[in-house]
Amino acid sequence: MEQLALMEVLPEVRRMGGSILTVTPQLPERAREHATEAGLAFPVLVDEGLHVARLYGLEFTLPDELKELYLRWGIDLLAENGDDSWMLPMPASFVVDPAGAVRYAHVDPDYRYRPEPSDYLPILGELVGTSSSE
Amino acid sequence: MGHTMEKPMKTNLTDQLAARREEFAAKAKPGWLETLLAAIDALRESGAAERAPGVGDPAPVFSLPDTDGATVSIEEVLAGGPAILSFYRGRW
Repeated sequence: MEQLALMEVLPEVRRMGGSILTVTPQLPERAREHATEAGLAFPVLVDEGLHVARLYGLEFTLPDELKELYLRWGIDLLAENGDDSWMLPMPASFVVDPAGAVRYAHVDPDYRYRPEPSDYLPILGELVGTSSSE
Repeated sequence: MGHTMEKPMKTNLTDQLAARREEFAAKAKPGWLETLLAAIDALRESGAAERAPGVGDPAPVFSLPDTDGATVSIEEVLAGGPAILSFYRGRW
Protein backbone atom coordinates (compact mmCIF):
# COMPACT_ATOMS: atom_id res chain seq x y z
CA MET A 1 0.00 0.00 0.00
CA GLU A 2 2.74 2.44 0.99
CA GLN A 3 4.87 1.21 -1.91
CA LEU A 4 2.13 2.03 -4.41
CA ALA A 5 1.69 5.48 -2.88
CA LEU A 6 5.45 6.03 -3.25
CA MET A 7 5.15 5.07 -6.94
CA GLU A 8 2.75 7.97 -7.41
CA VAL A 9 5.31 10.54 -6.28
CA LEU A 10 8.28 8.88 -8.02
CA PRO A 11 8.06 10.97 -11.23
CA GLU A 12 8.10 14.19 -9.24
CA VAL A 13 10.90 12.96 -6.98
CA ARG A 14 12.97 12.14 -10.07
CA ARG A 15 12.21 15.50 -11.67
CA MET A 16 13.75 17.08 -8.58
CA GLY A 17 16.86 14.93 -8.96
CA GLY A 18 15.96 12.66 -6.05
CA SER A 19 15.67 8.91 -5.59
CA ILE A 20 13.48 6.51 -3.68
CA LEU A 21 14.95 3.43 -2.02
CA THR A 22 12.89 0.94 -0.06
CA VAL A 23 14.27 -1.71 2.28
CA THR A 24 12.52 -4.99 3.11
CA PRO A 25 13.44 -7.89 5.41
CA GLN A 26 11.83 -10.35 2.98
CA LEU A 27 13.71 -13.11 1.17
CA PRO A 28 14.92 -11.97 -2.27
CA GLU A 29 12.36 -14.11 -4.15
CA ARG A 30 9.50 -12.78 -2.01
CA ALA A 31 10.68 -9.22 -2.41
CA ARG A 32 11.05 -9.70 -6.18
CA GLU A 33 7.55 -11.19 -6.48
CA HIS A 34 6.08 -8.25 -4.63
CA ALA A 35 8.06 -5.64 -6.58
CA THR A 36 7.01 -7.20 -9.89
CA GLU A 37 3.34 -7.58 -8.97
CA ALA A 38 3.15 -4.03 -7.69
CA GLY A 39 5.16 -2.66 -10.64
CA LEU A 40 7.66 -0.92 -8.38
CA ALA A 41 10.13 1.14 -10.42
CA PHE A 42 12.41 2.16 -7.56
CA PRO A 43 15.02 -0.18 -6.03
CA VAL A 44 13.64 -2.59 -3.44
CA LEU A 45 16.64 -3.51 -1.31
CA VAL A 46 16.82 -6.90 0.29
CA ASP A 47 17.89 -6.70 3.93
CA GLU A 48 18.16 -10.35 4.91
CA GLY A 49 18.80 -10.72 8.62
CA LEU A 50 17.73 -7.09 9.13
CA HIS A 51 21.34 -5.90 9.29
CA VAL A 52 20.61 -2.46 7.88
CA ALA A 53 17.37 -2.16 9.88
CA ARG A 54 19.53 -2.79 12.97
CA LEU A 55 22.04 -0.17 11.82
CA TYR A 56 19.12 2.29 11.77
CA GLY A 57 17.83 1.10 15.16
CA LEU A 58 14.55 -0.20 13.76
CA GLU A 59 14.54 -3.93 14.47
CA PHE A 60 12.36 -5.50 17.13
CA THR A 61 11.13 -8.99 17.96
CA LEU A 62 7.45 -9.72 17.74
CA PRO A 63 6.04 -10.78 21.13
CA ASP A 64 4.74 -14.37 21.33
CA GLU A 65 1.08 -13.39 21.60
CA LEU A 66 1.34 -11.41 18.36
CA LYS A 67 3.31 -14.18 16.69
CA GLU A 68 0.36 -16.51 17.40
CA LEU A 69 -2.06 -14.04 15.85
CA TYR A 70 0.12 -13.52 12.78
CA LEU A 71 0.22 -17.28 12.21
CA ARG A 72 -3.58 -17.40 12.51
CA TRP A 73 -3.75 -14.63 9.91
CA GLY A 74 -1.53 -16.66 7.59
CA ILE A 75 1.54 -14.47 8.02
CA ASP A 76 4.55 -16.69 8.52
CA LEU A 77 7.71 -14.66 8.94
CA LEU A 78 9.82 -17.80 8.59
CA ALA A 79 8.48 -18.20 5.05
CA GLU A 80 8.59 -14.46 4.28
CA ASN A 81 11.96 -13.56 5.75
CA GLY A 82 13.75 -16.90 5.82
CA ASP A 83 14.48 -17.06 9.53
CA ASP A 84 12.56 -17.89 12.66
CA SER A 85 13.67 -14.88 14.67
CA TRP A 86 10.31 -13.12 14.18
CA MET A 87 12.14 -9.85 13.90
CA LEU A 88 10.67 -6.97 11.96
CA PRO A 89 11.72 -3.40 11.29
CA MET A 90 9.55 -0.62 12.62
CA PRO A 91 8.36 1.05 9.43
CA ALA A 92 10.46 4.18 9.01
CA SER A 93 11.02 6.89 6.45
CA PHE A 94 13.95 9.23 6.07
CA VAL A 95 14.83 11.99 3.66
CA VAL A 96 18.61 12.10 3.34
CA ASP A 97 20.43 15.04 1.77
CA PRO A 98 23.35 14.56 -0.64
CA ALA A 99 25.84 15.11 2.22
CA GLY A 100 24.32 12.12 4.02
CA ALA A 101 22.43 14.02 6.73
CA VAL A 102 18.88 13.13 7.73
CA ARG A 103 16.50 16.00 6.88
CA TYR A 104 13.25 14.24 7.76
CA ALA A 105 12.62 11.19 9.93
CA HIS A 106 9.44 9.31 10.74
CA VAL A 107 9.59 6.19 12.92
CA ASP A 108 6.35 4.94 14.44
CA PRO A 109 6.08 1.85 16.66
CA ASP A 110 2.47 1.74 15.38
CA TYR A 111 2.98 0.28 11.91
CA ARG A 112 -0.59 1.17 10.95
CA TYR A 113 0.46 4.79 10.37
CA ARG A 114 2.82 5.97 7.61
CA PRO A 115 3.74 9.41 6.32
CA GLU A 116 1.91 10.70 3.27
CA PRO A 117 4.43 10.44 0.40
CA SER A 118 3.49 13.86 -1.00
CA ASP A 119 4.83 15.35 2.25
CA TYR A 120 8.37 14.50 1.12
CA LEU A 121 8.15 16.74 -1.92
CA PRO A 122 8.50 20.14 -0.22
CA ILE A 123 11.47 18.81 1.76
CA LEU A 124 13.17 17.63 -1.43
CA GLY A 125 12.27 20.92 -3.09
CA GLU A 126 14.01 22.82 -0.32
CA LEU A 127 17.12 20.66 -0.62
CA VAL A 128 17.28 20.98 -4.36
CA GLY A 129 16.45 24.69 -4.27
CA THR A 130 19.21 25.39 -1.77
CA SER A 131 21.88 23.62 -3.74
CA SER A 132 20.90 25.03 -7.14
CA SER A 133 20.36 28.68 -6.18
CA GLU A 134 23.72 29.19 -4.51
CA MET B 1 -19.20 21.01 -15.12
CA GLY B 2 -19.90 21.49 -11.44
CA HIS B 3 -16.28 21.22 -10.51
CA THR B 4 -12.93 21.06 -12.17
CA MET B 5 -10.34 18.50 -11.42
CA GLU B 6 -6.97 20.17 -11.49
CA LYS B 7 -4.91 17.09 -10.95
CA PRO B 8 -5.52 13.43 -11.67
CA MET B 9 -6.87 11.58 -8.65
CA LYS B 10 -4.05 10.81 -6.27
CA THR B 11 -4.16 7.99 -3.80
CA ASN B 12 -4.21 9.31 -0.30
CA LEU B 13 -2.24 6.84 1.80
CA THR B 14 -3.45 8.35 5.08
CA ASP B 15 -7.09 7.66 4.10
CA GLN B 16 -6.28 4.18 2.83
CA LEU B 17 -4.59 3.31 6.10
CA ALA B 18 -7.52 4.68 8.12
CA ALA B 19 -9.87 2.49 6.06
CA ARG B 20 -7.66 -0.52 6.67
CA ARG B 21 -7.64 0.07 10.43
CA GLU B 22 -11.43 0.32 10.45
CA GLU B 23 -11.75 -2.80 8.36
CA PHE B 24 -9.50 -4.67 10.77
CA ALA B 25 -11.45 -3.46 13.81
CA ALA B 26 -14.73 -4.53 12.18
CA LYS B 27 -13.47 -8.03 11.33
CA ALA B 28 -11.32 -8.70 14.38
CA LYS B 29 -12.28 -11.52 16.71
CA PRO B 30 -12.52 -10.62 20.41
CA GLY B 31 -9.10 -9.89 21.84
CA TRP B 32 -7.25 -9.36 18.54
CA LEU B 33 -7.29 -5.60 18.57
CA GLU B 34 -6.38 -5.52 22.27
CA THR B 35 -3.40 -7.83 21.70
CA LEU B 36 -2.24 -5.75 18.77
CA LEU B 37 -2.57 -2.45 20.61
CA ALA B 38 -0.86 -3.82 23.73
CA ALA B 39 2.13 -4.91 21.63
CA ILE B 40 2.29 -1.51 19.93
CA ASP B 41 2.15 0.25 23.31
CA ALA B 42 4.88 -1.97 24.73
CA LEU B 43 7.11 -1.21 21.74
CA ARG B 44 6.42 2.50 22.12
CA GLU B 45 7.18 2.40 25.86
CA SER B 46 10.42 0.52 25.24
CA GLY B 47 11.73 3.69 23.60
CA ALA B 48 12.92 1.64 20.62
CA ALA B 49 11.95 4.34 18.13
CA GLU B 50 14.40 6.76 19.75
CA ARG B 51 17.38 4.68 18.62
CA ALA B 52 16.76 5.69 15.02
CA PRO B 53 18.62 8.65 13.50
CA GLY B 54 16.75 11.94 13.72
CA VAL B 55 16.89 15.20 11.80
CA GLY B 56 20.49 16.44 11.59
CA ASP B 57 22.01 13.03 12.33
CA PRO B 58 24.13 11.28 9.73
CA ALA B 59 22.25 8.52 7.92
CA PRO B 60 24.17 5.25 8.46
CA VAL B 61 25.94 4.25 5.27
CA PHE B 62 25.15 0.86 3.73
CA SER B 63 25.05 -1.21 0.57
CA LEU B 64 22.40 -3.84 -0.12
CA PRO B 65 21.40 -5.99 -3.09
CA ASP B 66 18.26 -5.04 -5.00
CA THR B 67 15.77 -7.70 -6.11
CA ASP B 68 17.92 -8.44 -9.18
CA GLY B 69 20.97 -8.98 -7.00
CA ALA B 70 22.73 -5.74 -8.05
CA THR B 71 24.43 -3.94 -5.18
CA VAL B 72 23.04 -0.51 -4.39
CA SER B 73 25.16 1.81 -2.27
CA ILE B 74 23.43 4.69 -0.53
CA GLU B 75 26.56 6.81 -0.97
CA GLU B 76 26.39 6.37 -4.74
CA VAL B 77 22.68 7.17 -4.77
CA LEU B 78 23.25 10.33 -2.70
CA ALA B 79 25.98 11.46 -5.07
CA GLY B 80 23.15 11.96 -7.57
CA GLY B 81 20.84 13.89 -5.22
CA PRO B 82 18.68 13.51 -2.12
CA ALA B 83 17.04 10.19 -1.32
CA ILE B 84 13.84 9.02 0.32
CA LEU B 85 14.65 5.90 2.28
CA SER B 86 11.69 3.79 3.36
CA PHE B 87 11.90 0.69 5.56
CA TYR B 88 8.87 -1.57 5.43
CA ARG B 89 7.85 -4.94 6.76
CA GLY B 90 6.99 -6.87 3.63
CA ARG B 91 4.09 -7.17 1.21
CA TRP B 92 1.47 -7.50 3.91
